[in-house]
Amino acid sequence: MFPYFEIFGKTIGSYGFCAMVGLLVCGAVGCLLARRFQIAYEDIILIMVVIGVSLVIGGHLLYGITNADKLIVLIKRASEFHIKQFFGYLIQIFGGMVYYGGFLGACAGLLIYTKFSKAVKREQVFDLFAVCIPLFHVFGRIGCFFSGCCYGVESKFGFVVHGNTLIPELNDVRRLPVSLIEATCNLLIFLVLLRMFLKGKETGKMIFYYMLIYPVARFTLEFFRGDAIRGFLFGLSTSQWISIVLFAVAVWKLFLSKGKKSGAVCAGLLLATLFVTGVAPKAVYATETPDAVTAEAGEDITDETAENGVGKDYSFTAKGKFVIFVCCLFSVGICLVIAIYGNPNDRLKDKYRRARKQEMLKEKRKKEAEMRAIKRAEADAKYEKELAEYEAYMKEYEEAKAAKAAAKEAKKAAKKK
Amino acid sequence: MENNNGKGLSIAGLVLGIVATLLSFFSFVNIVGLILAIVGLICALKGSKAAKAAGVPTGMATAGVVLSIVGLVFSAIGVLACTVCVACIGCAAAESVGELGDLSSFY
Repeated sequence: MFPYFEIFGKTIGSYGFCAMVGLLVCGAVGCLLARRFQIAYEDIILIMVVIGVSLVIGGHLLYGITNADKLIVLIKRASEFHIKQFFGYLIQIFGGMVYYGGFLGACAGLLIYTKFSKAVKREQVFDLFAVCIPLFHVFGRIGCFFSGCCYGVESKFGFVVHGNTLIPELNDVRRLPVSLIEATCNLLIFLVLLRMFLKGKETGKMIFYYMLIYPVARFTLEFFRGDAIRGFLFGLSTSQWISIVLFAVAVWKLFLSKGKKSGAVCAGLLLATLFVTGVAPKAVYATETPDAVTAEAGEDITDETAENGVGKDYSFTAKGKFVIFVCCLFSVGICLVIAIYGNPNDRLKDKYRRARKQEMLKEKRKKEAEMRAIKRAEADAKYEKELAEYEAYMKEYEEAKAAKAAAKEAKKAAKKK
Repeated sequence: MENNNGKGLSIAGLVLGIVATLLSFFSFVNIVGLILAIVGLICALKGSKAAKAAGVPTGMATAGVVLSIVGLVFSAIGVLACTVCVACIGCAAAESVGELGDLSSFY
């Protein structure tokens, strides 16, 4: 692990370095993609500042919320601490960052920004955000891998960690590089969303597609992480619960509000599968002793990891987890296909709807043509009437003029006589 | 008379960008550099937009944007750390004063 490295005698944190590289790459990609919406580069940089600030605030806040019990104790017994000690604990409670907190914070920041900014449209900003955030996350996870703060369960595949100064217990054990797997997932999500964005089919809905795909990957990868901060409620971690909520919101926005019932059923089944696979084994093994749990868990959990307090709550074998992961990705693929192209029933309905629409359009055009013909006939008749009136008037005028001239000449002739 | 060519904002952005870039190289004032860089970036961007709208050269505003971004990046590299890193710093700060290492001991 390389949590820090030195350049010209200056120590630089690898996580911060990777995050900043990610931010710059995202900025460049965002500026290129924003050309489609003709958004000025100043607005893109401002949006990035808003995203960056709200992401950091949201990430720290959610981390603090996950430590709410400690925060309550700290506030209750604040008078017992020295001021430096108090702030030390406060940093401990709010110091870390949770990705989902950052994501939700950035969404809130963008909502507020687009509410007051007249230069950009909300849908366009969220489309760009949805494409860029997985790309940023790729670099963030690579940074996590280098820092050694996030790690995977013990496995036959992966890397043997040496020199992890943050969590020394992890050293000299072969572990699944879950950070790198998540980085790869995020790269794939970025490529999928980028293709959808460039096709321009799903404008204004990209963020919901991100919320459909990423939570599933995150939910399943949480089983592989192996750190002790899991099991917030019913054996699922905070991130897994947030994944469920985000996934439900995406399903509601993409399927239910559009009347695509089949897509909603498919997504609901996926959610139920995830929930059952995540919760049920924990509920079953919760009544058994830790030894029984590790025995059931299979080969990937050893006494060593149990002693380390790392991964002893796991009830799936590595192979089982991999199967769940592949199934989930497959289900997300089906959901995406349904969301973009619709299922056969939806297609038939669409075909009927289109035919009916065309028929109505034809009828409407026919009626309009008839109305136009009637109006034209009326206008012609009116014109002819007006022309006849005008001609009659001109005739009368000419006659009167001629009579007047004749009278004048007769008067002149009489005068000469 | 009101001046709308964004000159004041551009100058503010440039100055803040320079200060932020300088501060970003010092370990304990990184966070100040980060805040100044963000404020400078916003000023320079607003100045650039106003200058463009008024049809005057945007060189100073662009310099402010670039310097603020440089300051922002270098400060953020110093400030940002991962979950456990920051938690460890907090632990160290708390332990340096008293013998209580973990807040869970209060339960």
